[in-house]
Amino acid sequence: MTNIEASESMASLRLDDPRLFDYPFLYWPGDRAFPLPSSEDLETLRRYLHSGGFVFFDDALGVRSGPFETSIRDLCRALFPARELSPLPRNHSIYRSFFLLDRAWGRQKNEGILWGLDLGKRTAAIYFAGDLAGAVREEVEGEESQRDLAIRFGVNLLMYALTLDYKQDQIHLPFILRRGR
Amino acid sequence: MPMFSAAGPSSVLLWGVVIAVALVSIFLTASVIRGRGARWIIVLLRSLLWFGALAVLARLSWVETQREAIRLPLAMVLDRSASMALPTEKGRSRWDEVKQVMAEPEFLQRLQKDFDLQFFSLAEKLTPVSRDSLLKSGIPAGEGTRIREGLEGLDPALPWAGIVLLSDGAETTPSTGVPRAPVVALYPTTHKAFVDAAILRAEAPEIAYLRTPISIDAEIEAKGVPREHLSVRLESRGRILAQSEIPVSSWVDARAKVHLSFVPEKVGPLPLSVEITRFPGEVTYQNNRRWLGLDILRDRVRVLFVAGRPSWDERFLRGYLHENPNIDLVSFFILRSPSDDPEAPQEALSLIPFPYDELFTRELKGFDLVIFQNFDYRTYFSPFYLQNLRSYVENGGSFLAIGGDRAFGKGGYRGTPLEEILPVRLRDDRDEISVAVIRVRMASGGARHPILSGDVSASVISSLPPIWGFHRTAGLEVDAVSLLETGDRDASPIVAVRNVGQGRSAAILTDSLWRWAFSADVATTRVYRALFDGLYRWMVDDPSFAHIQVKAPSKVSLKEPFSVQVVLTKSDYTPFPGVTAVLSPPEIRLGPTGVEGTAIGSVTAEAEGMLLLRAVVPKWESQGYAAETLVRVGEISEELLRRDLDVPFLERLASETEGSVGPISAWKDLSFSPIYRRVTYRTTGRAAHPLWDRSSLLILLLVAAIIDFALRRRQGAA
Repeated sequence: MTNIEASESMASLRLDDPRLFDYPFLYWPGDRAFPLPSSEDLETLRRYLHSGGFVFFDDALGVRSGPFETSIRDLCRALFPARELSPLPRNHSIYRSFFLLDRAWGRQKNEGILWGLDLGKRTAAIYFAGDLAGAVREEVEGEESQRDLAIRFGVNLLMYALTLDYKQDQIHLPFILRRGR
Repeated sequence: MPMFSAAGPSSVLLWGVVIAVALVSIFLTASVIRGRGARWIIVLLRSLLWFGALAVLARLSWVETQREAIRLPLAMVLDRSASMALPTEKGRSRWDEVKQVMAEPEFLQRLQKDFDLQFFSLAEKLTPVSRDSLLKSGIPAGEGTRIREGLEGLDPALPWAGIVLLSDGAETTPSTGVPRAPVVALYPTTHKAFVDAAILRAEAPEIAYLRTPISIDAEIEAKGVPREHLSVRLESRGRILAQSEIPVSSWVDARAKVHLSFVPEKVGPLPLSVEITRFPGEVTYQNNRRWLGLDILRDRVRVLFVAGRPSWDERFLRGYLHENPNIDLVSFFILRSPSDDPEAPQEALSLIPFPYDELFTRELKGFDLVIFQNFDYRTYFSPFYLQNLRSYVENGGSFLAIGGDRAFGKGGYRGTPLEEILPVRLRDDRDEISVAVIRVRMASGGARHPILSGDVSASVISSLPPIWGFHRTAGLEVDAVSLLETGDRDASPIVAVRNVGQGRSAAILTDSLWRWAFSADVATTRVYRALFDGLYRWMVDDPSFAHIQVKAPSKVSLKEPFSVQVVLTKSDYTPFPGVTAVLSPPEIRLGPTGVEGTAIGSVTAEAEGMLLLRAVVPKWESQGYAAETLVRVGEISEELLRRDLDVPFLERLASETEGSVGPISAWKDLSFSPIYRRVTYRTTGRAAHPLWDRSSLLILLLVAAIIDFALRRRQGAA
């Protein structure tokens, strides 16, 4: 589908694992509340994000202000007290990094809003209450195209982590605007 | 201070009993007296009698202490800064007024009688001097006034009574220090008819780019001159760059701000001067001109970044390039190869066609640096475009190749025009790519190359995380320099650079340097930035990486010799000995250079301003062996910009130290009490006058006893 050279193996790590910095993309799924990591682990995660790492929080529940979302917001506040998770605008690079999308897609049927935490010019953390992994894993009843759209969103997510705001470069804009008409 | 002393029995109990008996006796005696007046007279007489008895018993004496005032040191501080030479309204200079009051006998004699006077000259610092030499010295010429700093410099071990400061208060270097002793400040007569136009301030931006408008901001002060005729001019080497009249509406409190804009046309050091109209009768013309020096940088650097596929190596390099405000980045990442099926119509994709023809023909010359990262050209264009790329580099462009499974030999570059400009010879066999996890070390060429400097030492490089695989090569080109190499016996180049014609090329033979950018260790991430900072600056021909450097002090004094050093290096940055360079102006020959590639000469600046020194090796000037630097000769004294009396400053100083302030002409009305408050005394002797053996006391007691007896008898109580 894309030119990304993907590895088929996946590493499952704790925040205190020294191999954490071998993996610049951190996938953090969940459906329940969790306690805040230790101060040492928080510092590691803060350093991970500041150095250029990216984390995607995938909420399987899809419930607004659910327990996992509450924990994620607490985590972000503990990491960066001066910043807030905020909705990503529709012209964010993540909606055009490979496919042209107008929202995020997952297993859950909701508005497909992405919440992001910016560090400098890039979005370093994204929270999605739509269960992306669930949609990729199984067919969603009654909505055959929803899985395809979720896969497209997943591709955009990876592409954004790998290319940042490449699609915001001036040279891309005329093409993208033409296709958006 | 006078006081009593006693020499009799010292028992407190005995004295208590005696005093109690006396009081009871007085009370009993008085209680039988009927008349109130007579009773009080009896009390008085009896008290006197008892006091006399006790004085005899205690052998009481009257003690007188003799003392004299200690002559504390008093600092007499006279302002010798250049502003003290300015005229007052009486036609004399401020310094003349100081000298006049110092010559008045009453002024100094009064102080000399009570204090140990110590004289100081004050300008940029406080200097102890004798009174005579101070008053015989010529016109004040100190180039600054540091009142607070100077007064703080008084010897803290001495018990200063105070400081008598004779100054205009025009402090040029503000400070927050408070003197340790009271300040009695005396200032010259206020000037009311000042005639002077001055450039108070002229500032240029810290960074200036070629062909980008630059604004020089100046603040002008004009007193007693026709402001409507005042114009401001910006010049460089005799050429007027900008000129401006100041509208009447711009003046506020005799001051106006003006902005002069111009567009620099040449990279390198640029001397500038800002000058205003000279009017007849100004107190000084030295403040009518200011000099500035600018280092004009090339315009934003245009970088073309082509990546064969999205990867972490690409992501971190893009992050680095994107954060650099001097880089105008044009990126093309191959997100999908022709064999990839996106499973979606073209309209659903954000992909754009790769405009290789436009980029590698018409647009190529517009880029300062081209980067191929893990990019296999064969899918997109023919070797014809690689020929263009080679010509681009040979004619002054820069090219950086970065590894991966589609780079170097794997990208089909072996035997192409591109290989001819690379620092390494390529392989394209099965063993080209090593997947070994291996540490990197600094190569011998890296230690002397300016790309690896500062944070990037050999030991730091050896401690970095290992790389994950690299390209083996068929060796370095003869004129290439390996900066980093694998830490094994093969010492395979990992980062190598090469000068090619007028341009430069570099090769990074791995795709895992991103591991140095993304690390829990901040020092490691610094190395990544330092490496790419150095690489980027070398590739775009940053002047600091030139093979000729001319080093001189940034500021020198007029007509005072100073030394200039010229340093020459070869293309591999090893010292270039035995070469003669020419330095101008004035034209002098330097060299031949020694084993360190260095030659030193002496230059004397004959005029104030910004001196542009140029060093060249005539026979290689066209190959870049020419460099320039700016030297500021002389500098306008802040004294000539702070010409007004600053009485409020002196008032603050007096208030903070509980001192006083007033004009020199009215010194007699000024309170010197703050310095007298500190006067202390020492005892010189004591005189005791015994009371108990004086006949006058005995007569007094006898008379008192007779009156007491007579009065009591009259009252019928005797």
